[in-house]
Order: sequence, then C-alpha cells, then structure tokens
Amino acid sequence: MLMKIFLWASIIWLLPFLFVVQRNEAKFKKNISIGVTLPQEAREDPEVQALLKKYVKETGIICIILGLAVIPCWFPKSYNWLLFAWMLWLDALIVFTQLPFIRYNKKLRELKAERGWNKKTSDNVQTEKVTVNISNISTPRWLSPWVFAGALLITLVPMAISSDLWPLILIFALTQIMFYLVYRYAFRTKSESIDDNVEITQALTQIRRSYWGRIWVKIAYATAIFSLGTLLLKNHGKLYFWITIIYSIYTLIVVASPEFKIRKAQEELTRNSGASEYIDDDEHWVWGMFYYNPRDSHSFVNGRVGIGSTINVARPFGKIMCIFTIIIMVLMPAFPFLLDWSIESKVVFVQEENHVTVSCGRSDYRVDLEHVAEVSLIDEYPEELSRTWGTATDKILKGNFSAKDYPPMQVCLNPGKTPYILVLTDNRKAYLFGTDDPLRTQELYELLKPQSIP
Amino acid sequence: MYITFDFQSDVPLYLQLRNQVVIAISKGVLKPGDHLPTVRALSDESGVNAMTISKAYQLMKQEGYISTERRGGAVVSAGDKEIKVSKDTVNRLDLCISELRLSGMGEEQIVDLCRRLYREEE
Repeated sequence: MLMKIFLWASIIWLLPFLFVVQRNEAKFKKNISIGVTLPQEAREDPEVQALLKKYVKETGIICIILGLAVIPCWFPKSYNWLLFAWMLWLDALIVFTQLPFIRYNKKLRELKAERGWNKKTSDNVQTEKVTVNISNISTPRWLSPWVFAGALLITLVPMAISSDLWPLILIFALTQIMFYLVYRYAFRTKSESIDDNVEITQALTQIRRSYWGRIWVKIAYATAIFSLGTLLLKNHGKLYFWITIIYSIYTLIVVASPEFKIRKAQEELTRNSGASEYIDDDEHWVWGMFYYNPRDSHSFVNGRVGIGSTINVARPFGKIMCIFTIIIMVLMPAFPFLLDWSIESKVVFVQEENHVTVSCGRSDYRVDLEHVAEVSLIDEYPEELSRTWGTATDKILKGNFSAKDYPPMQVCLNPGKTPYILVLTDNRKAYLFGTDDPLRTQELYELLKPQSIP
Repeated sequence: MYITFDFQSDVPLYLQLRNQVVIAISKGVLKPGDHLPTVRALSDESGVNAMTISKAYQLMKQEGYISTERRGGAVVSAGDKEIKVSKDTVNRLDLCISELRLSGMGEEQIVDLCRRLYREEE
C-alpha cells in the first residue's frame, strides 16, 4: 500500500500542473496564444475569444477524464503491473493534454489566414530571410563554473565519510555536472524580441536569463544538501523518505515558480504590443509547439513562452532527441518487465572454506562465518527497510539497504518467497537473504548458523 | 540597426553581413567606437552558424573596418584608420566602369553618376 501511495503522490501532481500550464497557453504572451501569433486587434475578436474559451473547456474535460483514469492504477497487486499502469497513464497524460492545443492551434491559424492577420508582420515571417536588430543584442553573463563546483564539492562530502554510499553519491555528482551543462549549453540566449520596442525586448531577455541561472543554482545546492541528508539519514528509512519528498517538492517549486512568474511578466509587458509591426515566426512552429527551421544552425531555441528552451527538430540533434523521446514514451510502460527480463533474479549460494557467498547475477555477498553472531529466519522485512543502492523488482531485491536498529544491511532475496534469513555479525554488518525456494533458503540458513562453522 | 540574412541569395552569408556593416559605417549608422555584438550572440540571435559570423568579422578586421575584442565582440574602427581597399573591390569597380563606358557614357557622365551616388550615401 505504501508503494501505491508513493507512486500516486509522485505522479498525480502532474495532472493539475499540466492543466494550469495548458490553460495558461490561452492567455496572450508576446502576442502569442495557443501557439499562434496574432495582432492586437485580434485579441478581443469574439471568434478568437470563443475559440480560446472552448480550448480551456476542452482541456479541463480531458483533465477530468484523465483524473478518473487514475482509479484503475490502484488495482494491480504486483509491483510490475502497478508500474505498468502508472507509466501507461503518464503516457496518456502527456499525449492527451496536448490534443486540444493542437486542435485549437489549427483552428486559430485558419482564422488568422481567413482574416488576413498575418499581413502586418515584419520580414521575419519570410522563411528565406532572417532580420535581427543588432542594437537589441546583449551578451549574456554566465555564472562562474565555481558556483556549481561548490555544490559539487558539498555533494561529494558523504563519499569521503561513508564508503558504502559511493554509487549513490556518484550519481548525485554526475547530476551536478549535468545541471551545469544544461544551464550553460541547453539555453538559447536569443533576445526575446517581439517588436521594435528595445526596452521591452531587453527587459524580457534579462528576466529570462537571470531566472534561468537562479533555477539551476538553487537545484544544484538543494541536491548538495540532499546528498548530505543521505549521509545523515541513511539508517533512518522514514526520515529519509520524507527528505526525499521535501527535496522533490522543493525542486518542483524552484522550476515551476519562475516559469509562471516569467509567463506573467511576458503577459503584462507585451499587453500593448501587436498594434503595428511585430515578429511572427509561426511558420517555424509545427502545431505551434515543435520548432522546425532548417535555416537555424542551432539545436536549442527559446521556448515560445516561459523560461525554457526547446529543440530545433530540423537539426540532426533535434531529430535524434525526437526519436529518442518517442522510443522512451513507447517503452515506458514496458520498463518494469524489461527490467525483470534483463536482470538475473536467481539467488544462488556456495560455501568455500570459512565463508559463504550468496550471489545473484553479478552481485556477490560474502559472509565470513567466523564473524557470524546471530542468524534468524523471519517472515517480514526488518522495520523501515529502505534501499540505499540496488535493485528492486517483483523477483529480486538486492543491494545496500538500511533498516531501523540495524547496521548497514546487504540484501539479496526473492521478495515473493518467505522465509528470509537475517544475519548479524560481530563486526557490525547485517545481511538479509532469501531464495526462490523455501527448502534452499533453509539449506542456506543451516550453512550460516554459527554452529556450522567447521 | 538591422541586419538581414537572405538564405536564397547567391551572395554568401558572411559577405552579406560584411556588406551591410560596411554600408552602415559609410552612411554613419555605425560610428567609430560603436560595438558590434559578439560572434556567439549574433549567431544565437540570427541562427546563422558562428563560424560564418566569425568569418565576416575576420574579413572586416583584415580590411580595417573593425577591430575585434578578446571576447569575440568587435568595435567599429576610428575614421583615421587606414582602410585597405581589396583587389576584388577595385576589380568590381573596373567592371562597372567598363559596363558604363560600353553603354555609351563618357568620363564626365560616369564621374557625375559616382558623385551623385556618393552624396546620396552621405
């Protein structure tokens, strides 16, 4: 049940979040609504207003249906089928919430062509030409890499203190490097030009650039603190669970809050734009959301609204990313089964001289029999058993774990077959083993018992 | 000041940039000491490859129209700096004069036309 609640809590927020984001697309920002650039006169047009209202309503209906579609996700009993249901729902959420956008983008474009609203635009609409105002261009000031290096150093501290955490800390460290690379290279620094108004262009550009830096610095240091928390709370499963939740919520707020602030600023600063000449590059945006411009040599481009960047689908990198995303989305529901299929789940053991080695795939857990202090057969996991690093599927649970009142624990067992063997050693180590056959588990228990030492 | 890149034109993109900057300097739109954007910023803004922008900057630097800065930006050169007229420019002028002469214009007429165009520039 805890796993079901955890999955529900970690995914369900996406539904209201996407609804708010999609609803926000109907508001005019940078002369754009639902991915269509329109002149000032079009904003109050009854037909445009009616389409925008219908779009919001349709998005709301789809979100309600998706909210109801969550119910079946609570039924599966197996871990794999539970993940399958949620991943399938996630796919549906991503695809179906975009459908009204695509539909009404098309309708709005048709209305725009019908009313001749694309006549007053500047040269930028011509796909064979691009015009830039060089007086508008400001060179971005990037934050020093040392700002991110500080977060990386803090992240690495637990590795120096507790060697058993190294795989997890290594992942955090690699994530920190990724944060810097995304901050520095996945951001197109193009000015936020919407018309000839230099002040507004500069204001919009500055806001976007400064928030972009702040987001990544905040996430980098939150990750560094989370890494320290992993060290301090590694043996306190419940507390560690909560710090994980807090870290996730904080990260979400750090990303979502500037996004909406910038959208608000774009809405307010460009409220009076579009009366005379303005920039319209709708031609480059397929369905109003995918940037396709073979003339643009860059793979990353400014998102149409908000803070983010998007990918130029016309570039080879953009095409690769697009295919990769589709493959990930298609395979997402199958991941748990693929994981099961690819991971060896047979637990085997062998006795050699004065130690027993329990193995599963390429993972070996060696128990020195002379150090074994206590061995017991149990039918339930120790209290607050929590994975620090390892694998968890329906058929195998292995890796480094922590549990309340026990030293760091190495686990290698089939979760579906009881009993399990709990081994405590006199050098403060703990092991939890179990095979797929209770008789073999009993055999292993006999081997591990202190009296079996030759 | 606006720079337009025409992707359909037979004139290479780097030369389009160079020509527009030269015209802007000659018309006084860009004055000595004015800053041009950095190569990367102009590339980001226009979508034109950074190597192409860099090539145009290098050419303008060689010709003496601009001086480049360490961080990829450029400054319009002071008026007193010697501008090297390229052989290509002389050849093109030679071709124009030949065409005008063949069209029946005399020396005075050609000089008058040049003077008129020069003054229009100013």
